[in-house]
Amino acid sequence: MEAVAAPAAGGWATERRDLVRGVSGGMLFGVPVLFTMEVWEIGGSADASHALAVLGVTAAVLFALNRTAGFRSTKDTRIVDAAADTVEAVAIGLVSVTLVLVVLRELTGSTPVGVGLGKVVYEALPFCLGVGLARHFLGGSGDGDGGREVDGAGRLDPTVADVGVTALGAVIVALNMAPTEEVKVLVAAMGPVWLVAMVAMSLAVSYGIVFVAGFTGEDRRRASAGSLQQPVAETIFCYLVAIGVAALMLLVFRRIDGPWDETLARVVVLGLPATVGGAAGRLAL
Amino acid sequence: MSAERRRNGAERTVFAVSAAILLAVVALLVVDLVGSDDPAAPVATASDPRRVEDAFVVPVEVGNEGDAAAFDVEVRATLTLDGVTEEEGAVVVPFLPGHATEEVVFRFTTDPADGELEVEVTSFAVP
Repeated sequence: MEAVAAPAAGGWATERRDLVRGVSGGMLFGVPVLFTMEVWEIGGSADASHALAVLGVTAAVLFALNRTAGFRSTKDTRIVDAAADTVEAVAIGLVSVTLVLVVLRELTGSTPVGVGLGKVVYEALPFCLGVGLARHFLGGSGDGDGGREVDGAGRLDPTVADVGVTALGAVIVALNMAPTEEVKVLVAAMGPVWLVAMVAMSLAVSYGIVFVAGFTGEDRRRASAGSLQQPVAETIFCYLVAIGVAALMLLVFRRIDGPWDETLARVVVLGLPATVGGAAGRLAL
Repeated sequence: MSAERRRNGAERTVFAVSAAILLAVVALLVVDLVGSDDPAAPVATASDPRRVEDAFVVPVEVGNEGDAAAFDVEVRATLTLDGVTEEEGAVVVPFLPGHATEEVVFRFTTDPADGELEVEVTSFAVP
């Protein structure tokens, strides 16, 4: 058996951060399309030649993005590095989109392979653009905030500020989806287990965007004072704010009209995009 | 200007896994591409009726035996007793990809076992 040297811990830490940054950028850019029924249908009915063409276009655009932005903290100056990062970015998109579609029950054990591939490839296009733009989305490496004021006079209480920006970000993203049929259609296919998975995914994505991806604002988030500013507590608290906003949006658009369990399921489903918006809002604070 | 990047073990591992994923997806798409390309062929198959309170429900599996997707698949169920139409109904499945199945349910007030139940796909659109 061939012995393989273990990579350095620092290498894996950087790689994990880069990958989470890529997934986070993809979620920020791709989550609205993941909740669009027409894309499920277009992808599901596309023949393999169209899906291959879309995959090719995705890779070509990503290659160009990797030459200027990309998802890594280092810039690709060599063509070979940009090509390698393109392969990784496409894979990040394909795997992430597959996981989200499985939780949304748009991919199940009974989905024909060709249909599933079409859905994943078409959904991966906008997601991968987000991966390719990740470093430029919300700044860069999380190496600090250039001396921005953290505890200066006149600054809002950190917890109050968090609630405000989380709610604002959640409104901006969830507002577009709350009135659509997609939330109702998704809930119809999701049982309690998948709703719990949805909650877990929402929390993981929120934590990843704010505390792992290394976007601008991460250091400030970690340094922020307040009883609810510890990363795990903040993630849970802001998730509750986001699903509160999701419930409010559903109420505004009169999408709360069933029994409590149906309502809760709709709130949880809309909670994913709301949480993504809330996380982006906290970084932008 | 950035220094030339040297890929470490972690990056090489991630690249290898990523390349394998991408190759697998492309291979599956190529297999799908060179495979059959039959037109959409939706069919409806009724299961045994079951009593629910004062009615009889009949689950119907709507499957697409073709490779292409079908849209707006209309499934019609007709219950006849002694040659006379007793009850009929229709439901539309908006989207049915190739080789996919959906379940719809018809509800009758008369027991279908007492007559003849015909379930068929009456129309569908192709993309």
